[in-house]
Amino acid sequence: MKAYTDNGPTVGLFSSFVPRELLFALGCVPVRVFPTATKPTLAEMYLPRNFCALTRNLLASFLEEERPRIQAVIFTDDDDSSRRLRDVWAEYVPVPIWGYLEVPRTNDSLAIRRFASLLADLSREIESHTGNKLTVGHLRSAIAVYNEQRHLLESLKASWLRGNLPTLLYRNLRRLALTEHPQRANEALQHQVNAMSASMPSEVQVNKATDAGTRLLLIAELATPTSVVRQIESTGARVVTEVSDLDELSVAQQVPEKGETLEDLLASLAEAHLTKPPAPRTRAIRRRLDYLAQLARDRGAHAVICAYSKFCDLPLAEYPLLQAEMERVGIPVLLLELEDEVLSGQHRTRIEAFLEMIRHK
Amino acid sequence: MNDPKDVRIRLLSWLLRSPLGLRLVQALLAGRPQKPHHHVSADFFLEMARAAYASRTRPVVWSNIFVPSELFWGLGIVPFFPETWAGLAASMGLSALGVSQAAALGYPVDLCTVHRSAAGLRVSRLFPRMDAVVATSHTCDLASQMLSNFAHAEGKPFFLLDVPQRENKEAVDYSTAQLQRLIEHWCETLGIVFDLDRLRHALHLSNKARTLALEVAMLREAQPAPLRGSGMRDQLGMLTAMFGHPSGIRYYQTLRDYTRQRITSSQPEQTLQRVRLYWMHLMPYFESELLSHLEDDLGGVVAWEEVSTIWWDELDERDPLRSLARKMVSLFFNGPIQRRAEMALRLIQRYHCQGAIHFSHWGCRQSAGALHVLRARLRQEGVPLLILDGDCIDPSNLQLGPLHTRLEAFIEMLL
Ligand code: SF4
Repeated sequence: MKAYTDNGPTVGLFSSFVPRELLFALGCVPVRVFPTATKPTLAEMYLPRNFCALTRNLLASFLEEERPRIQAVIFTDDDDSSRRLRDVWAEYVPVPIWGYLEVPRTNDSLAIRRFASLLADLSREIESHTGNKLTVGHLRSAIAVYNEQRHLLESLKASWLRGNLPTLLYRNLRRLALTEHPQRANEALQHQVNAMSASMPSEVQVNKATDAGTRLLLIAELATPTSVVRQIESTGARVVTEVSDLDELSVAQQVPEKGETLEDLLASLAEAHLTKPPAPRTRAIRRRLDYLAQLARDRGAHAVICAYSKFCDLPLAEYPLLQAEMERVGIPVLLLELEDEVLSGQHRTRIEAFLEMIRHK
Repeated sequence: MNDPKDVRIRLLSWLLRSPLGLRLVQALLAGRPQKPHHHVSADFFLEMARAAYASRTRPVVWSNIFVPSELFWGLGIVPFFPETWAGLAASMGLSALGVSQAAALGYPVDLCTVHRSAAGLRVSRLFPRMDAVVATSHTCDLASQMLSNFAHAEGKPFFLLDVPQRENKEAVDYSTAQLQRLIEHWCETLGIVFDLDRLRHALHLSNKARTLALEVAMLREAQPAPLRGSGMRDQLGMLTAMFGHPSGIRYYQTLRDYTRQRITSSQPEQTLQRVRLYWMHLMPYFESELLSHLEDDLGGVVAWEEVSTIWWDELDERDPLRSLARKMVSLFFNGPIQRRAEMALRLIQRYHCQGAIHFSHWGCRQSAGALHVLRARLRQEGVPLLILDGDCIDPSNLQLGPLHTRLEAFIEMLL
């Protein structure tokens, strides 16, 4: 398997709904695309200025790059922004689109069946580009690789929650898992897990670490900008969970590897991806609010920071309900509408004032 | 009048909920000098208002405008479309109320004013009761998100129709199966009884209205243009609410006769006609000088509006759910921008337009997101596109000065 995939094309993904297993089984290296552009200036030629900031930054990143590491991309119909980005991409970005995956917004049996059949269509499209054939054996092995990754990430999360792993390192490892060759990523994650178990601190230290300071739940789309996390933790507050594609919105459960046929395996992948924790795109507001409230309780969060991309409609439109629900159970919420990774002075002041307010509550 | 406690808002809320009040409004409207089809549409919307606000005999389901209206009429349900009513409220000068109340609820100002206004009007009690909510996922993210918010706030059942982007057999199968489930869900939650013949009848009415609407579309090919484009700004509301209801037939019959009469009597509504244009996306719902300047001062003729287009094929009355599924999936706003662009090119040719104008409503990502691609495609065929940024709901967000200047330059260039 390893030799088969090492030289495969690197395929960029914009959504956590694309099963990476499928691409890996077809000899590709699937990587999640993170924006690298400092400003979305180049994208403004093609997308309106009041368009989702993350989407503009993603486009700008590709327009800026002279030799992109990514050889092809897969689009999904996650929201209006991704649909329009695809229109623009097809015309102006010299990185080919290898597939367009429609992802159902519901997760009943009808939706799961449809998604499984759309995954089969996508695999045929990828086959036509790579010349590799999807087989039961390859897909099973690919699922096993990602299951191992999920297992390692869960173990690292447990360490992080116990206070044994700094937040920034934990987030870097999660990002590495999304952006690197999965087997290489797993080696790095395993290495970290081994290092952690070799230097396990005593229970007393653990409790001290976890109990200190204000505990925060972060909500974002792709990932909370590192600058926000840095600022929060520099004041002694602690991030205890992040509901974003980087962490809680990824598939955490083990995907069954035992299917006898491709259809079985694709159905398992479809189900795992559609039943992962709800994002705003599912419009399942009750389920989402219950999920967030439960998570806040489980992690003992004192407050929530929503670090949203400016002009990103779905989370912004959900925000008033989320705020009301959290405040009903005594958890204050701060909304940041961010243009890029860099925090403005005004944002810094708002975070500072918010944390100050919580400390004095 | 930005406060829901304002006596005028309370009076309006009472008027809408009182059968007597609605009769009063109807009498007032009937006495106003209007075009014949406007009487039909006013009666239709008042009847809807009566059923939704003042009567309790039929369930009221809130919906976005792209759930096929035939479904509601064919099931004996009263639909309520917050988007349409937000437009109606804008035409009555109530936008500021909706928008300010939405801000008080915590909705960020960068969201589309159609939905912000609707959210504000709802909490101001200017919207009717709600028994259930349905929304399609396609075309506009915000519509379904906001409707799910409303359902949540009122503790009512919400059903999402997940409409695929691609137009193929599997997409239609999937949508049909969801419509089937939706009906089962409503039978359970609303206690309605599904009557296939009644649904078929709604499709029959819809097809008849469609034939008449297509006749209107044909008559509007005439030069000079018989109708003013600005007078058609309510078409999306008609197209998405009236089909399947007997008023749809009356409305398009009246509009057809009126259009024909304008042609035969050589009395076009707009006297100065210099340049023919294709209008894309919405128009301001409130009275604004933008359109009057274009039409009366510059002689720009909006020969056809994108949102007046009958996009669906004749519905198959023998297979109603499949037909309605196909109607949803085939919407021109759905799928890649090419669908919209190719339709634009066909209509530009059909109506002999020299240019196109896209009114980019503030906050509408779906319509404005791929304008660069759209403009390039039209340019390829020699059609210039003018993009006007504005707001069709909030007059304070429509900068007339710069827009007039751009319109003038555009018309000048086309002449
Ligand atoms: S203008 Fe655009 S965002 Fe607003 S309701 Fe219409 S489609 Fe949705």
